[in-house]
Amino acid sequence: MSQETSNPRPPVRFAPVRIFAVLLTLGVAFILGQAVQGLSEEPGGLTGEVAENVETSGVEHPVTAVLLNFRAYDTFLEVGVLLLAVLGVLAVRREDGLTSAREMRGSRLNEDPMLEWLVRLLAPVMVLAGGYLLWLGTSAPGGAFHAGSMLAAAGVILRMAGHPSIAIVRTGLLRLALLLGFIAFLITAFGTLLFGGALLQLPETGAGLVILAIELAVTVSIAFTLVALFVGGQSVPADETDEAA
Amino acid sequence: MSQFLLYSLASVVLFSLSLYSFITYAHLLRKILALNVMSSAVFLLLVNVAQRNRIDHPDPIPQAMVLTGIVVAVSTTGFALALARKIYSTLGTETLPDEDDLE
Repeated sequence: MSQETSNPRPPVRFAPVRIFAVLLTLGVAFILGQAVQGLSEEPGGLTGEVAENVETSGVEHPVTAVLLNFRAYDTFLEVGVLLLAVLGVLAVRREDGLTSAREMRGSRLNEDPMLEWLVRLLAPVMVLAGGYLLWLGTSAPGGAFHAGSMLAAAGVILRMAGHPSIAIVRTGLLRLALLLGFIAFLITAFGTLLFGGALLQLPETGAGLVILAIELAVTVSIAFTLVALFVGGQSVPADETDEAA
Repeated sequence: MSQFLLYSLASVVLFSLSLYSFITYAHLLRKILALNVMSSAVFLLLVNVAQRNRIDHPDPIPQAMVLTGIVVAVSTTGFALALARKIYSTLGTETLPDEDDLE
């Protein structure tokens, strides 16, 4: 049987499988619909409890308090998931850095003054905005993930424009940056266990500082993780697969 | 039909349609997109619950769950895209080998 890449939708040969797919979908829709109709329409949940305890959490915004204090374990595992994903991408791509010498030679910055001006203007502003979002997380929507995404967007702009500054972060420093967030959480987890509390039970005094420190590490990690995920999804030219970064 | 029920049913419909799309289409990119739409459907349900639980502000716990979920979805999509890219560069097909659309 020939590869069907030129005709991506060949005639159906196996109708029972298609019927199974339709039935499965309808079944899932029916079951979920029943489950969802059983949800009460009265307010419930823990909104009140969170509002009462926000003062003890070290931040003012309830979502940040939930993410980094009350449910810090979920955020810990989330950072772990990010790390796993980027490890997988780096393993598949077989390239250690965020760029390579060949890509830098083909940089479009030299030909396009508008692009160069825009990148030189945008990148520092985005870094500044990322730092502001990180600080803002204590009292308004913001925090580590928002700031990390903003920094990652700055990194992606630098990468797309072929700006040489992104090549500064070589293999060793990149790996350290990727690990930083998870290590910060790990240290906090061990610290809270060692000094008598439950896992990730932050002390009431100084909780704000601990949260800020964790968020700083996680922001750096997220920024580099997202850029590495973006770079990993791009095509690698055929003659580059064996070239070291 | 109340707003809560409307959004919940919309979430269910979205999830089911993207589940069907995930099963039937062979192109890897379509599967990844279907996965993303499925997670968006779940986020819609969670945010709906957050709005239901509103006192002065929406319930922060489902919102935190959605934030976590978005990050996990992004990680999954990033890894899946890198794998899809690798499959294409190694095998030359943008579907899994010997797989066709079901419709």
